[in-house]
Amino acid sequence: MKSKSFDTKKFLSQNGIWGVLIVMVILLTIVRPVFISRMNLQTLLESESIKGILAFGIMWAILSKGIDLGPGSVVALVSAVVASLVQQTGVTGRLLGENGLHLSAPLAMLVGLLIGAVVGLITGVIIAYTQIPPFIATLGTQLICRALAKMYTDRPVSNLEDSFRWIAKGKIGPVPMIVVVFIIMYILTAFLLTQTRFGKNVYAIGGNSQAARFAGINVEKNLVMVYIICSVCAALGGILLAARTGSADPSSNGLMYETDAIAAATVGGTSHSGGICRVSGVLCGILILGVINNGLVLLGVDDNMTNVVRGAIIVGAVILDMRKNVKKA
Amino acid sequence: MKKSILGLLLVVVMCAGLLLGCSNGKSKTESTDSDGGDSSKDINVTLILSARDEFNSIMSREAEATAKETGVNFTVQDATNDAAKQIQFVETARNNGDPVVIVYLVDPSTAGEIVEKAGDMKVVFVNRYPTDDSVIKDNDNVVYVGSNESQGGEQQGEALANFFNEKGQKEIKYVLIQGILGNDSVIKRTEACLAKLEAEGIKATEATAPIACDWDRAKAIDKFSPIVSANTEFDCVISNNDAMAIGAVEVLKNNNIDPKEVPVVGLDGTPDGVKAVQNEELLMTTLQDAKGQGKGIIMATINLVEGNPINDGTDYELDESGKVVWIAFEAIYKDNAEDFVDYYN
Amino acid sequence: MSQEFILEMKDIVKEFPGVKALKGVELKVRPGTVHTLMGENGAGKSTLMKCLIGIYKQTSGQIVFDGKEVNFQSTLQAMNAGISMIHQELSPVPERSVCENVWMGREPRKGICVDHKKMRTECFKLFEKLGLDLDPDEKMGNLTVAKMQMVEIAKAVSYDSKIVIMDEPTSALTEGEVEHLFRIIEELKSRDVAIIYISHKMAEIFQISDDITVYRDGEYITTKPAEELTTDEVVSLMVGREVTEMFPKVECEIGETILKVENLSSGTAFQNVSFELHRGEILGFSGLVGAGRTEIVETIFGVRRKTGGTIYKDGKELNIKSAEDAISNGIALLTEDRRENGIVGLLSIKENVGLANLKRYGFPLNHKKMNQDGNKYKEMLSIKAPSLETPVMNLSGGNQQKVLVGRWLLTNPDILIVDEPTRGIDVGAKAEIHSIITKLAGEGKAIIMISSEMPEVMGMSDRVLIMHEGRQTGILNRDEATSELIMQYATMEPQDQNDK
Repeated sequence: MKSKSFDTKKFLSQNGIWGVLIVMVILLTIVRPVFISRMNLQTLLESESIKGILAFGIMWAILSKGIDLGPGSVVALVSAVVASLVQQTGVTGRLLGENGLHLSAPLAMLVGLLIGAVVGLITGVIIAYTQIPPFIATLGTQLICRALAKMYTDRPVSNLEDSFRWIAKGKIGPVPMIVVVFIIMYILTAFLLTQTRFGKNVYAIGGNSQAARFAGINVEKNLVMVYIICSVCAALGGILLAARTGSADPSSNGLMYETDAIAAATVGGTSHSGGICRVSGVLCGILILGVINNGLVLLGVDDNMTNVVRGAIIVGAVILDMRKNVKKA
Repeated sequence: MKKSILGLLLVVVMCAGLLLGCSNGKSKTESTDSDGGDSSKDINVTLILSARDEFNSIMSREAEATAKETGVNFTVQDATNDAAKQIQFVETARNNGDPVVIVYLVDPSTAGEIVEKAGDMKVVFVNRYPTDDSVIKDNDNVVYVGSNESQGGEQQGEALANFFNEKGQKEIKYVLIQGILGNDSVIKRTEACLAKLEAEGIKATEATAPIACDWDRAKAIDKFSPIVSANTEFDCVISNNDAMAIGAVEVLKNNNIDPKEVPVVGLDGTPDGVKAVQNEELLMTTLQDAKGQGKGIIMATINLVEGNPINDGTDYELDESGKVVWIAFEAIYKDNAEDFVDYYN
Repeated sequence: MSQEFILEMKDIVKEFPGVKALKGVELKVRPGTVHTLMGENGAGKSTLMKCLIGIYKQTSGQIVFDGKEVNFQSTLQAMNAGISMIHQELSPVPERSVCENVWMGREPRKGICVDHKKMRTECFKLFEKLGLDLDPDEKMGNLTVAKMQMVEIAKAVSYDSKIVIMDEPTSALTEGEVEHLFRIIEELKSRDVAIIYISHKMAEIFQISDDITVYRDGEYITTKPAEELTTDEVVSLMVGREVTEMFPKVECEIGETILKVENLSSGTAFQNVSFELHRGEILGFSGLVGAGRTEIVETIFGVRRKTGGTIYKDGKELNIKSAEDAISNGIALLTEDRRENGIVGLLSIKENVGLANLKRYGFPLNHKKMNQDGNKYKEMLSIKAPSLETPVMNLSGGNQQKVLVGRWLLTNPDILIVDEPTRGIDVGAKAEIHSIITKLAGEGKAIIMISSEMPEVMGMSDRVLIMHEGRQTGILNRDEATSELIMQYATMEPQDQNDK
């Protein structure tokens, strides 16, 4: 029954963004051939993995016609707490006392993910049951989590166990662990989005929450789940950040990460009017922002200019997105 | 109906939390006064921080300890990087009848405004030097306690100059990792370091455009990595602080570059920084004496009220105008690092 | 110069994607008269008016107003030119005062400041002129619907309108308020203002109309002076075809009671509704807009809070708190407002069909089964679309409605509730939906059908439950249900209610 004719127009409108990425890669390779080297590509992926995982989380919030501004601060909170639990013992200046509480790496990570889940649960319940705009509710999360992180420790937590740092720095074959985790999260997100009821529910809620409710979907429960996932992704990001840098600084960790993640999801075609998104698009958005960050450093472009370019690309992506939807309506 | 009750409940819980938080803060300050000694009674002073970070926390903790010893009633406020808020705090302190206020400027160019708002109140500026220093020079009520940012940069330059002069290398390429662009300390540290290199007869050029990493270790790793993996040639890394310097070291090690061959210099003398110097990962760092500044501002407060020279009771150097106390940077190399290991504890 | 007609609309054609809503219709209005437009829902009356005041742009055709050809781009332009419309759903700003609502967007000014004093005095003058007893400082939101309507009329007059369009103005008014409205209309007529009046209430139409124009299925039928027409003539002109053709009612066996509702109430929306529904039966819900019919079925479906009464299914008491509960108890609701709470426009046909029944596809989702279901209903309901993957928003109203019917059939309900199932659907699709509903009843499903279209209610239902202002006023059997009787119950004041 499936029509076999190939819809070129549809294919282009859905995948045109990959074309943009390819053009960028080609141009950069011509100007700086070293861009395409294995070392540099690996660097690029390693640098974008954390924000990428955040973007996979934020994608859910945007798909449900919401937004989450909390992830950057959740990164700070979780990285600080987890780092303090896996600090080498016997070192002076250890946050939890020289021979205080110390957990094995997997256990500490579990604690971190749990913190993320709790933050997401609270945020989600507030959004779903009081119907405050998500922008406001998650702004609260952002401020509170950052403050909690700073209250937890006023100085960077460093000297972390190597067993913990392996989660980011270890390698499977030639691939760094952090990239492996990123790929696993991609697959998991894609699976959840396209192969489960939950995914379909969120599409429906973002597309028309009233219709979803009348179709027997528990809108509130699903929204809470969305914000839990978003926060857990951020928590995972926080764990990876601590493992990667070997330190957790509550005041600077994860600062503005949500902006980058929202940008990646948006550039990747996740519509802020809800109900539209493709994981492959978000992946592409992450890579595009990564190529911009990496490429502009390689080209030796001034840092302020880098932000100008990023800002322009985000606004451009949203304009395109809106035009696409206006045409359909 | 249910929803509105839930909403109400949330608001109540939040408010309760806030009140609890505030009351905790209050009781802490109160305990400071009640434990106070007998000298210099009834001096109320507020330290208005630009924001809370590691350095500021150490400074304000030392100030609190000194205040306790000397019996000064000491409170800390956080202006959260908001110059307008900072001015509000100054006005509050004035309305409260405090004799002195200590200000860690959010924006060094607002010093004049702050002095004006302070009225009869005496002002101690700490750490960040006012852009227009006439507010200090022309005003009897205003003094400054802090470190000379340029001195820290100069020490970085000196370390690198010695390193390369020893090798007999006169021309070097450097990678510069900066803090938040436009920060006063970023400009001063960088300029002083480069000027020192030149003065020592080393011709230093950029290996690539400076990268701004907002004082953050993770950002330094992200931005420095592509430079290294692109095989850019450079002889050393100059970082505006320790966190970013350590990030750079991470990147070098990941790419099998020995930081002993390609030296990295940090600044601040944080525990991580000192440890990295001991491990020969950083060539050097230099301590901005947070504790010294903390002690210095309380002593200056007491001296202002009692009419003594403002460095009375300390070893810190007073400049010729008698209104500026310089707390020196202390360069940390491998041989003296041991002395600084416990500095923060 | 005085011409015979203040407004002439000629050969107006309006096409929407997939539907030709107006097929070259005309309208000629004399100044100082009440001109009533008649026709079934979907005959094109509202569309024509929307073309007139610039909400829609006609595909072709000419509009001559006051001797000049006009083509308004917005309602504001139309209002400034002298044509105002009082909408069925009023859209005032409830938090502002009456006075501010009247002058909204064109406040009198003194220099750059709003001249509040002038605003008030002008407002007083205006109300006096029309004999309205209104306080200009009252908050708009505190007024009754009738008073809000008066304010809207006053606003229209303040624009110096030559034509005032009233779309079902009496649907939410009490008897006394209707009388007041008619006095105002007489006052307007005496000022040479023409009224274009849209209503379904025969009695009041013959009471106030000078001319009547009838439309049917987007076509112009005729214009005649009111005194030359009778109610029966108007109805036959409006319907123009045998009612039985449109409604292929098949007599089928009525089974045992499946749903029993006792004294069901929900806040102020409706109170004390009781009825029984049997297998194989179609129970029609009739009443005016706002009578509480939709609210009843929403309560049964669990999306509105029940404040009293009990619901039994197969003799067992049901405790339904959400749509999810209702669906698992074999109840399905095809909602009135397709766009608002029916379709998810961005999703495909397949996904919309499966939406209420995703449990069926397991974990991970069985996409093959989803395709099979989608195809099954696409064929069974003859949904016209390029493929199963087509986003539903690209379909016509009728096909969207069929997708939703498919969604609910897939849940295999015992009780199917359909709320205005054919609103805004073209005639062909309408008949198809009717035959699907009849067929389902024939299969032993119990059906509740809400409809504001009298012929549909009478043609399809075995029994008709009639509501008036949140109260059940009667249940009629098929053989006793005439349109006059239904209308009588639907407009009945609670106090003159009989035992029935």
